[in-house]
Amino acid sequence: MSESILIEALQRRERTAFSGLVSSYQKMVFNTALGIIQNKEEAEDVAQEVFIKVYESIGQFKGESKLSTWLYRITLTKALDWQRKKNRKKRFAIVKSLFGVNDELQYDQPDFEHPGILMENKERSVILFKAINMLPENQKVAFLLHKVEEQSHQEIADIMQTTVGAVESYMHRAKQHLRKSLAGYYKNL
Amino acid sequence: MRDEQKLREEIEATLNSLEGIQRAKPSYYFESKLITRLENKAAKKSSWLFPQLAFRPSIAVAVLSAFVILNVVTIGTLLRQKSQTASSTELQGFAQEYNLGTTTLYDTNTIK
Repeated sequence: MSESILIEALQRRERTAFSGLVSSYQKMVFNTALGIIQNKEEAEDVAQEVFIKVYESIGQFKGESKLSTWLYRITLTKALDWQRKKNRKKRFAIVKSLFGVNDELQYDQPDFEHPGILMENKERSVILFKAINMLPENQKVAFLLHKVEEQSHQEIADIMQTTVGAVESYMHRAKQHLRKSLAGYYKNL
Repeated sequence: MRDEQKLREEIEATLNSLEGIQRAKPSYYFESKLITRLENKAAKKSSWLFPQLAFRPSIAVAVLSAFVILNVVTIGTLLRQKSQTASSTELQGFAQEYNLGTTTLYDTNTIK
């Protein structure tokens, strides 16, 4: 089914079309959310919210970008919102712990092992994901889309609605930040 | 110096640890869970149809206007009834004071 036919069928609320969309894009949406959230259950929740959003707002999709680009945008917005909410809760827990109510531990991010990593890279990737988690949002998104989703700089620019130059700058700064964080980590071992 | 070199190598190896990564799959029940969630949302939406309508500005303004008009009409009717009752009470008092209700010989037409 071509993309325009799929979109028209989705706009007519055809159930088979929606099912086809979910089958085709669930891995992409889940994997993108997982890179940012770094928790399987929560990433799955976010991925479901993405498809609900798509179902509700497909009428507004004008076809100015590729369907996958639109899906990436919704996924990133939802995942980053989720992450911000989680960070707020974490900060609130830290403040509460200062006043004697200690529930800080429950918000500590456990080590994240991406299920798609090659066996020999597992240990190092856990350290890398921890460092990625500390990057500013734009750098994190650009780095993950390039390294985890294997998107080109042009595709990342379309998703982030920016220029290729800006994406290259995000990538360069992300690598600088990561090198610095990793150096700090290995020196303290 | 050797340690520095080793550190640099380790950092680069860590940075490259995402090479060859495969996309992660969501759970087997992802789609069925999603359909259930969508159906629940749709059911919730239809049961909350009235408040949703009520929160629409056009509907809220229309309902409010109807309420105000009904109140004005009711108050107007009540005031009119009250003034009518007051004027008839005044007339009755006047009639009593001057014995206008008393029948006279002329009224009874007894003179023949």
